Amino acid sequence: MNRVYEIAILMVETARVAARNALRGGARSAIAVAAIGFALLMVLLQLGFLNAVRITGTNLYNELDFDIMIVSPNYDELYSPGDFPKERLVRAKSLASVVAARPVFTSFGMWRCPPYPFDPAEHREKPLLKLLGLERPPQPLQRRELLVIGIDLDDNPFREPVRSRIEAEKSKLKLAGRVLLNERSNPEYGWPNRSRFHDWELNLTAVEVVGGFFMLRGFGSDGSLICGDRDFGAILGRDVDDRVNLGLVKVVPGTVQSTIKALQQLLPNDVWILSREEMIRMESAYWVELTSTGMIFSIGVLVSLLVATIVIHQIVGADVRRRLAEYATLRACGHGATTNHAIVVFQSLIYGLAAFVPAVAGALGVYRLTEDATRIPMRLTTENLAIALATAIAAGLVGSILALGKLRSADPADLM
Amino acid sequence: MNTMKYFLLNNWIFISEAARLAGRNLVASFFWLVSAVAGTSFAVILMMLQTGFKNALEDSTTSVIDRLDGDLFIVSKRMYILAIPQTFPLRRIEAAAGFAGVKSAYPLMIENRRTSWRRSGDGVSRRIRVIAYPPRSDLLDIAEVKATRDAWSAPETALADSLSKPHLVGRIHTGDVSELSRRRLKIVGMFSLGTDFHNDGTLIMSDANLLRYVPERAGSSRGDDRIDIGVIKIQPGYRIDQIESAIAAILPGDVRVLSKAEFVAKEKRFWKRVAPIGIVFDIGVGVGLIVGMAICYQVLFAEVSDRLAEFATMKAIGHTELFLGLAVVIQALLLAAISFAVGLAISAGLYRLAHAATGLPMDMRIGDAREILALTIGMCSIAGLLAASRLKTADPAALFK
Repeated sequence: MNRVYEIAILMVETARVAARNALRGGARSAIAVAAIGFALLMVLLQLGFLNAVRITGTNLYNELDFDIMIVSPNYDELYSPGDFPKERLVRAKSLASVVAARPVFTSFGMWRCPPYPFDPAEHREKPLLKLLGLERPPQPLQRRELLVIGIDLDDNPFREPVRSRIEAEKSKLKLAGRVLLNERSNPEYGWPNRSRFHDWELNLTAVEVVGGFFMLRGFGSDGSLICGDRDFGAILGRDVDDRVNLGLVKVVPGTVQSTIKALQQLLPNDVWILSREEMIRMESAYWVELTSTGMIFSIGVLVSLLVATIVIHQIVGADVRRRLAEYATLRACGHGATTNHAIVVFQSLIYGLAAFVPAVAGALGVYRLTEDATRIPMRLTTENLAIALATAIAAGLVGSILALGKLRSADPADLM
Repeated sequence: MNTMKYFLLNNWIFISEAARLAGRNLVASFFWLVSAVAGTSFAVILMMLQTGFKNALEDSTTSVIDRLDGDLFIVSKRMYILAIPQTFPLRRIEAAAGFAGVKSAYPLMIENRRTSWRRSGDGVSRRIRVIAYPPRSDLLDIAEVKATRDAWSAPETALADSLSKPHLVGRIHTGDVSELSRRRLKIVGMFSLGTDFHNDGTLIMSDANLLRYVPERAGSSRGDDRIDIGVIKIQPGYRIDQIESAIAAILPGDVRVLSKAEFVAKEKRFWKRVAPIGIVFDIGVGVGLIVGMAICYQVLFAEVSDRLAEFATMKAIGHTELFLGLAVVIQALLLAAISFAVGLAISAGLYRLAHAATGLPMDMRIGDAREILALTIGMCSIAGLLAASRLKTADPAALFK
């Protein structure tokens, strides 16, 4: 018991010395915290980019309500899904554990975008973006591709909040040529001017935007809309009664694995059957591991982690070197080597944690700026915060352990 | 310039002495040198990689256009980037072929939605881009493609891009027989073009061949076949801009005529406007610079601190603070030079790795290398100046305390 008490006292004492070292370090401590903060900011930025790649793979599936997904064996990724006979969904419904089996149709379509600025008289400049050369240039009326999602309006496959946005406009959507536009689409698709622009067209068919919904943008497509399956078939020239792109199956809770097995036996092998988790994992893996975008940002994360570790190591090492005489004095006063080690470790933790706070604040600002300028969805996820914090702590520990070698040279005799 | 020369001449001994001291300090501790070069060259590598990715992003979008052997290009009015197919009837380029001064007008098709290549091995089909044109027209200026022209003129044959991503479209070799959109296809040769952010692999075949695999493109008559680009070559002695406006005047409104420079500019403008991802990499370079300065400052500061007694001794025997400061800054510049060389060599390897892994064009440009060298020298000399301020505390009297 006594021993534990002693260790606790030692810990508190060393932590106090470490805190005093950090606080009284003046400009040098500030530089150390700033440098570590920059390194962490860089890590957070690269993680944010990589997360945007992951969002590309999950933005639609996160909004859809399903436990099991049926797709064609030719499924590459959301934007190239292949198709399979709708009859497979009818058969899937025959299982007792299946609550619903809903079709979703996806395709690219050409969208007639309003010009920008819509009304030159009202055009306002954004000084910061202009300064960075990122101001949105004027654009005449044009046609651009977006993702078209067709659904059975009487059997809504979406989760909240998209679900109720569709339900609210359901009666309108049932009329021919009515669509919902994604509010988060690139502004070029015209959501900000929806009340003033009326000449919308999807693939040369006049349509009307009767409302919006919210879905994150990704690298696959920077715009999307939802329409009824009748419109989808008529406008994009597809037989929606024959072939579907995605089959969304809802099951009685707790029967996912047994239903997958039953479906695999029931259905011919011209379809793939995947659980929600498998589907989302596969799609994220495709975007992060197989696309060039994913690879580039993965390399970015890796290099930034390495650089951050080196920076933190250098800074902690330099600090130990600077205080070598003080550590030697402590030893001369009778403190063991453990005390000095503990001080160094505590001090690097303090630096790491002190740098973490401004780094996160800075990252939020840079995320915002990046999202405004590049339209990439930048989200600070808990996972990425944890990775950055772990980097701060781990690099601090590794850095201080490497610096311990230097501590051994803290010889009281050298003081004189 | 002259003043500079006289200054250097007059102070030659002073400067060369400082440089000798800097050189000796640099190599005095092998361990210090390795750790300093490692830290600084990491910053160089970070800046180089980010610049390389930025170039890859920009270059890959125009790699097909860059290689097209033509002076004028007819494209659909709706075409806003090459990766999103927008076709028009072949008839339009036949109208252009009759102009005085026009040497030839050939159709080029790029299909990337309806063509999927069955990987040999596991039999999984993956989307692949197919570029098709009359073989005798030599529209793509790639030596391997021109040389094997007779081989890929035959039905059900194609060339494959050796830079296609193996983990997506599989490894393709000459002699492979598999299926494209469920129809037999034989690979009769290879070429290298590379991928971009929309396409993971490429095949080249004759226009007649593509119509077999994608019959939806065939119209009721040949003039109605759907094509993507009309490539026009002009006879020598004619002005391209005059012919461009003459053709544009007679063609219907569903197509437009572009010169090569306009075509490339149009493509780049779209990416800059819609997805200015380039800024992401500029931010990366900026952060690399700041981090590099921090690393460089730390190692030089540690170096000066370690040698404080030596510097004090030199002060005691009559050397000025300017001389010692100059030595520190020269040491920083030497560190910059070595770190840049090391960083450049490692980056060259990483560029090659990234090129092999993604198929994206990763080329080290002289201008970029020069820019990063300037940034490296700048960051090290600022760090050196900051570290030199520590010399003020080198007090000869303190030596004997």
